[in-house]
Amino acid sequence: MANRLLEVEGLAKHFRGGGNWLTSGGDSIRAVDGVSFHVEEGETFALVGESGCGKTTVAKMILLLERPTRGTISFQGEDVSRFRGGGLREYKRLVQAVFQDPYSSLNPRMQVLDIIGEPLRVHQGLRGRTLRMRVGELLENVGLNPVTASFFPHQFSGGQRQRIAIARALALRPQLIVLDEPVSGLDVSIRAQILNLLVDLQRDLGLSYLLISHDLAIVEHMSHRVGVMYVGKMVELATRDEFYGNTLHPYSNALLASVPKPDPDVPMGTTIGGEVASPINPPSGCRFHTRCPIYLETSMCREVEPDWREILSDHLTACHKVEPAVV
Amino acid sequence: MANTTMQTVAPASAWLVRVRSSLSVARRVPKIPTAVLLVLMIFALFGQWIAPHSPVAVDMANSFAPPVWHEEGTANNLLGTDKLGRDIFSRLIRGARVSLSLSLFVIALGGGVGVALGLISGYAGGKVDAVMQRGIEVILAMPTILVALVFVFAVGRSFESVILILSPFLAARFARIVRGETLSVRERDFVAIAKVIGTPTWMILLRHILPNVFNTIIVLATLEVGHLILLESSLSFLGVGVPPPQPAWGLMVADGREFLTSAYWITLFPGLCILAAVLSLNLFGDWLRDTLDPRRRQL
Repeated sequence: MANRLLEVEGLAKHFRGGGNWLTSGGDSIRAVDGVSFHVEEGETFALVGESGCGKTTVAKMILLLERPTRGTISFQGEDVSRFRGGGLREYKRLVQAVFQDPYSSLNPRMQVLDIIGEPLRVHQGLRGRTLRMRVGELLENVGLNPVTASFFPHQFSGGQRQRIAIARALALRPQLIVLDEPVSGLDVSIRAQILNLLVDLQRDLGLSYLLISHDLAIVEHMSHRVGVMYVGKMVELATRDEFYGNTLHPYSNALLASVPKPDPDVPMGTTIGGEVASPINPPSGCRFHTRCPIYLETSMCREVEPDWREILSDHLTACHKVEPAVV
Repeated sequence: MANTTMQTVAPASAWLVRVRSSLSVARRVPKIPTAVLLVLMIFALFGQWIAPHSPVAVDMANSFAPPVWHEEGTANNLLGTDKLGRDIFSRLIRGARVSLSLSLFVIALGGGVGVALGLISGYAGGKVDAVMQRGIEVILAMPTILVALVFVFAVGRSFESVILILSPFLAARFARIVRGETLSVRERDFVAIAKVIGTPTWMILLRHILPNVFNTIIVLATLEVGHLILLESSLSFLGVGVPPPQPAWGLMVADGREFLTSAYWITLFPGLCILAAVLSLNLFGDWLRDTLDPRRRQL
């Protein structure tokens, strides 16, 4: 088995809801409530789920933009929360991010040279000619003309902007890139270009990706392993082929069934009934029981939280209705 | 590939494009406001050699002389004289220095401090922000004129004391507005990415936040110059502004007030100077804001 680059164990983030220093504060919002997974070297691990399920919060905690309420994040076997000084710098060099909206992630007041050059200046102290050359190389790596280094972000299309964001993430030769919905903000026609660029870069540079997406077609195209989140919890985790071939959890099944097929004879995907449960006051027992198609009036689903079990080898899920094949 | 348009710009012509675009920026400078500001700056810097008379020379025999286009007017006093027979034209020229330099000093000192405080307050958030904002509210709640009166009586009437007492009020206004802008800019993704990269906080403030709130600062500064010229004249009127006999436009307006029906020129010309200065600064500020914005620069 490949080395585990990033390991997340029992990660949770509760936001204090409402209220201020005068009132005692409302109920806490349990955006992420006990999530565990790992990312291996050179692989793409995909985190999928509906909006509001907490997948972006997981990314923010890994990027140290939010502090976890509970749980640990380890990078190369070391606890990330203990990093200080040089260790922290090294972590910030090795872990980079590409966000969804390329209009918000590039400073409109900076030239491309300064945008892509920022990590190089901060970490390697590059200046002048050396910086210009390195930025030129990076622009070529992502399929842009080096002349564009003197342009400003508004002179590019959305796809080109996302290429700039990718070049910036590559600048320090990182090991892990967190891709938070990297193509959701782009036109459908250029999504494939960006995805293929990401796949090529991964192959050439041995990168690991943590891909956060709600688009199951993209996940199937790019990922090696898949984790499904629902209202702050992981409900299923499997290799890509296993996930798409032998889905276990009813929520994953429903997600897959809701993807429209590009075939006029197949009826539109079925939707999941009901609404996503609220993380402020999540349902008791299994959090999916309010919408579950195979839920029967058993007190089990309603009252007991299902265990996180390995059903097949490397295929975990949390559902009372799924019986283990290997013990 | 989607970047064919980029490839049409060959490296050699990129230089040409840059030269051409900087020329076109120079061509679009607003002509009249820039000319007015240049004239006022020349007056402020070289007034003592341009003015035909001393601004403080009293000539009681020649008081209330009308401007040259009136029947009794003479070319000796182009814009007439005031109640003490001082030449209005000379006083306007010399007054430019007081009014403009006072405003610039207050903008530089108060505005600079205010921008720094606003950036820190907005970016830090939490307790730092709460404490700083309460401080700013205390300053904004104080009546400017009254505080200035007490202060000037305490430390003495001088050009410097007017600057010192007006700067905190200006700093509070700048800090409040810059803080609001900072709050919105710091939520943008490029700030989050800078944190992920490990960019030091001072660099995030200077390179990411400040350039994105600069428009607001420019507009506010040009508006505040007008406000300051008026404020200075109020203080002069109450006897705590720039000490006479130094000529200041606001003071001249105040002086002529009681003779408005009989000798309008004492009030009108300094008033027009204030109007011209404030209007030109605002128009120039608009141009500067558009020019500094890379999105509009290439239009």
